[in-house]
Amino acid sequence: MYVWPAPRIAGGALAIAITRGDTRGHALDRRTTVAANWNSEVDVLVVGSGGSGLVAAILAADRGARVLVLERSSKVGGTTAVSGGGAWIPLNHHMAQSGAPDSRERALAYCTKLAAGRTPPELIETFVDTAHVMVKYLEERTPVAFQACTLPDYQSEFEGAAQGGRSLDPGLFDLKQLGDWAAHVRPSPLMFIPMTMEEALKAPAQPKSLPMGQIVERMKAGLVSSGNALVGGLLKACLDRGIEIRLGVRARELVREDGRIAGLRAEQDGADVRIRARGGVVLACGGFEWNEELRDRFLQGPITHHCSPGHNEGDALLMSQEAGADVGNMAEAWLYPGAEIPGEEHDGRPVSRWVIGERTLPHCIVVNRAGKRFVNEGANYNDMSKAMHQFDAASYGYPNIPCWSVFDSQFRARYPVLTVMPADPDPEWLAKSDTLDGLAAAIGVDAAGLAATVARFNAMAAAGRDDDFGRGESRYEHWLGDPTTPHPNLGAIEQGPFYALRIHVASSGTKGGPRTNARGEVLNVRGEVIEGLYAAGNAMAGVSGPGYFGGGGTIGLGMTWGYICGINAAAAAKTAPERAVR
Amino acid sequence: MPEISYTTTMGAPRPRVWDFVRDMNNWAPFTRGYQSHEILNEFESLWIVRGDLGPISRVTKVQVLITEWIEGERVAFTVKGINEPLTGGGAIMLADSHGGQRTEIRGDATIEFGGSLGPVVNHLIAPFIESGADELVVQIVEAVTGEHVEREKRSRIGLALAGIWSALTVPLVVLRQLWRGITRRGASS
Repeated sequence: MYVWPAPRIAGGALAIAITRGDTRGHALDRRTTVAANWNSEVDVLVVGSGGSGLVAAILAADRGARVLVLERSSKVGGTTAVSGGGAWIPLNHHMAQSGAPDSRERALAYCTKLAAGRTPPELIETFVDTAHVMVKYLEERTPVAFQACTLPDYQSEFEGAAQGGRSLDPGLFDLKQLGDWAAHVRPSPLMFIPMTMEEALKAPAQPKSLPMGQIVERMKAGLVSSGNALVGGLLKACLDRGIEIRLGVRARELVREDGRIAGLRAEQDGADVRIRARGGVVLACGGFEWNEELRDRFLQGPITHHCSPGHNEGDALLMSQEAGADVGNMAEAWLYPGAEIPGEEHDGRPVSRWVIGERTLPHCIVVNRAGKRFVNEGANYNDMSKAMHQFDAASYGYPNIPCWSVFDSQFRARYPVLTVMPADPDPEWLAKSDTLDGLAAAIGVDAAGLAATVARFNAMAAAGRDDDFGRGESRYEHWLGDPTTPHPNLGAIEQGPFYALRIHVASSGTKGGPRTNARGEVLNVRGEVIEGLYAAGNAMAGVSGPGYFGGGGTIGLGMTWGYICGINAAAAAKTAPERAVR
Repeated sequence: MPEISYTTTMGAPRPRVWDFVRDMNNWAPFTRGYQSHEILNEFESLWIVRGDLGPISRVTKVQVLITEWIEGERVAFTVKGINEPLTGGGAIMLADSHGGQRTEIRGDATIEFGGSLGPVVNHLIAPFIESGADELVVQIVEAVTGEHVEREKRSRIGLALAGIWSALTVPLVVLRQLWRGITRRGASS
């Protein structure tokens, strides 16, 4: 149970309730804190050091602002650092260079479709029009250097989808460039082997394609990839600009002054510090997936695992609500089907590994307790998880949680199972039986249902077409599939022994939070701007609604909103009044 | 392949060292990641440890086989992973030093992950092996000699004895077998 602390009155700050009339005769009860004095003052105060926050800091600094970044943990990088580090950027200049130019119309059509009517059109337009500008800006002025990945968009058959190029890979970064700060980059529990996006995503289907010798040389050289590479580049840019980053400082309460958010109260080493931000506060401190109470209250289905940092407990959501923010997209999260290797832990918590090849490649299916398939297993991880969240009105439960990837010895001989390579011995945590009936009994799945499902699937695999769910028909699936088999995604489950891997729903972060406008400013329930307050990344109401545009969809949006917030908060600082600082 | 070979002396006579290490209960808690162990037979044991693999930790089961045993002088062993493609082995050699006032210890050990991920895993586990060995050895030295090992000395001492404990699972089993050998078989075999 998460308990949000009561507002504190200390050191000259006074918590009051302000009631303000509005044009429709209703009253908005805005609880806030008015500060009589401050410990320090900056132009722009960024809360959170993930991709969104660091980009906001860089842009604000480049616009002449004095910037301070507060990071609650002892590590820099937030959710970005533990991620794949990709950024989904329509119209990016790498696409044009690679001969696959994008178009604004196509990008808008695609994003609008995936947002499913839950996002104001102007926000989608802002994203499409700004994201590529942001990337070019960073590449020209910071060590960040992307390269285009050929991964198709996640709904590759939708209107406007690109068949590669929008997902950008941050490549490799030498952490030694950061000096002592290298030790403060948050390590990733999943992406700590330096591989490019294409290498990592192609590995399940073609494990022998991994350049192991090169990878070891990269490790010896101190090179990192994925989220660590992106954060490394952004952090270097911050250090080059002299941007102060304070670790171990948790923002707790926004402070209002003269009707606008003027700063915040934070906790550092058990003491309160009040920091004034003349231009504004940018909330970029992640979602609320690790806050059990908020998660249960808002998300649409059970999510038992997360791969994000454990301090994503909804600080931005709660602080902004306390300041009167409206919220949006609260039921959504960046979901993925995950699986555990028993005993594997990071920061004292089980590691949830992404299940991709174990549901996309030939000779496997995913079944529920009834032994039935319920989704195109090759769907992108976000949409596959939504199928797991299907609610059964009759039983008032989730019949597809948990579910199991069921595969045969052909799969086992060709493809990895989590980190177990084909030639490795069978791990004891992997259910195994010489017969399908035995496997069903071992995992508690209806045996007759499983047998019927496998028989039907095998017939469809032989015909090369999945009549039930259309598996293996999209270019996205083909890209992830095995190019050496008759069908890259379909193959019969027929040769024992048979195996089963238990799958759960996991998230890499939530997508709900304070609503913003196209300037990154947080809005109240009347649609009015809460002056001085900005939000970006997983801290804000996600622009993609329920959808996932493509590889790097989270970071692309987050960095773009960070870019916007940094610019606008810096501009606001230039017109803000001066105040005395204690 | 992670490989360690070191020689050092401990400020205690060999019988005293022997008395301590022959009872695994004396030092098992010092081993980083120790979870449990099971004696399979006179020569084989199954050990479970939690080890670091980069930023994550994993539980690993290994089977250790004593291949050579000479009381107080030399023990050789092999290691084989149960749930991981891991192999290894090594030897421990003890000798009197400084007229019997001290004990010279030499250890050689290797541990290697196989399979296609082997090169990467071997690179990742090396820091864990070295630091874990250092930790274990320092505590054993402190326990045997009764002296506090200063932090600046820890690295030297740890490195010196690291070879004995290179894979962390190895020393547990080896010393367990020493103890069993002493208690069951007398002088030598």
